[in-house]
Amino acid sequence: MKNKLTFILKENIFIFLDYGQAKHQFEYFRIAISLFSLLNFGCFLIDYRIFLVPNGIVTWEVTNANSFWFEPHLLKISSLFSISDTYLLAISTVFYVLSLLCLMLGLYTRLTATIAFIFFLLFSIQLYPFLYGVDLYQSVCLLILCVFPSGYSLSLSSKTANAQIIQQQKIGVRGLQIYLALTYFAAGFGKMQMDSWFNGEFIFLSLSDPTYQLVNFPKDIHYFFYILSGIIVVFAETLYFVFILIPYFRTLLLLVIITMHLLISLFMGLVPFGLLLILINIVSWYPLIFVDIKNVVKPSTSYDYAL
Amino acid sequence: MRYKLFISLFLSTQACMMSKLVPERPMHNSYYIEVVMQIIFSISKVNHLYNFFTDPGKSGNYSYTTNNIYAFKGQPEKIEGEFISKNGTIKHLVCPLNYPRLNQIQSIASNDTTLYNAVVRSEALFFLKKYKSYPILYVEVLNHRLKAKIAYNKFLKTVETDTIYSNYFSMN
Repeated sequence: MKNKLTFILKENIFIFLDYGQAKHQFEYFRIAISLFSLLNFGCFLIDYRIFLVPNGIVTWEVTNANSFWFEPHLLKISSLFSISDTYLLAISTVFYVLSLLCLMLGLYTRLTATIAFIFFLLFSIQLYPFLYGVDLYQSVCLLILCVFPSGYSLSLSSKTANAQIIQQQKIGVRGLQIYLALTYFAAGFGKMQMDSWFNGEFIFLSLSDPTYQLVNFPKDIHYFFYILSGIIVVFAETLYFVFILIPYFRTLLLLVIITMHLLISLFMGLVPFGLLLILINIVSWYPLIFVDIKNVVKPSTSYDYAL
Repeated sequence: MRYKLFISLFLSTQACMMSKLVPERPMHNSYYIEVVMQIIFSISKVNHLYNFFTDPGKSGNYSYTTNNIYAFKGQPEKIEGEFISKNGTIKHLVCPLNYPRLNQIQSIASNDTTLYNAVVRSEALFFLKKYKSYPILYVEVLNHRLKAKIAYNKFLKTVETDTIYSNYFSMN
């Protein structure tokens, strides 16, 4: 008993590291994040005259003036090395896209993830007024890929991962899972402090906000729908870290979370945000969902551990 | 071991950032703690975004911002011009996937006035260069405070609109 308690205290968040983990999970995560990052940056490139160029809709001078002294804005770099702004922008774009492509293919993953992360930061400082939640998650995912080994089995230069590498990847996945639970808790706890999330008003008003809508949300819906949706969102987010550990219930929770992100994408226009969160949720928890499905199809007593 | 240490440190710091959600947070009163956290992770500019879909003051109120941008030329007796914004937004200038990015700069109007002043000037410069035949630009920013009430089993919204910013710009 004492040994078990010591083990739990010693291992804390890394206890039962096999729980909710599958063989190529971290590699799927790498591929999903690099593909998403390419898509997200591709959106900026489509409207590069508005967002990216030095004299775009928010000029580099404005974002540079708003940056901290320690933040490496492209304007600071161009003045430091006496490079033209346009040239620096072109170089940064090429390096960022190339590093993401290499990361997706599994080539020198930690190096390419670090290069991608550095260029992501450069662009995020320059594009600060346009950033929202999606960029936060992307930066964290890239940071995790900078640290953990991810270019082994699903890589262009395929290598066999030894037990130590697999263990390191599992630590990375566990970190991601806990991070996801933490952010949902933070979002849910924030909403819980507001009555308007419990009486349906906030959801109704946000879905009828004309500045967000991509597809118009139907207007003639009973008010109870908004009350119920608000309550479900608040509890699903706040208690995500508990519900995700309950067999079968976690599948329902993920369905709720994915539906929520689909609705956010469709009716609030936050397509990249919805897409990234759906990807992270699926990559983080698919082994447990497979176990649930497997147990429904063919009941077994030994569920829950690694596939 | 160092991987476990990294994850533990990372999650602890993220938890500290999230503790901003707690109404009274003595440890976040220090400017230096904020700076150290931002240096450590250098995710600085995006770390404040944990509070998405909620308002920082936890008032539960809902509002949104629109802007009307009008470019014109001529004298008071004969003015020619055109609206650059449509239905209070300039998002038609970008592809639909980028709509939230442009909405984001409009939302700055109500939470970071200093930055927004600079952003509006920058926007004005951008449009004055783009619409060279219209040398004067009028920018008006409106804040819409929404309230919901229930009538006949449905929510209805009421909107109160205030002008929070208006200015004329020219290249001169």
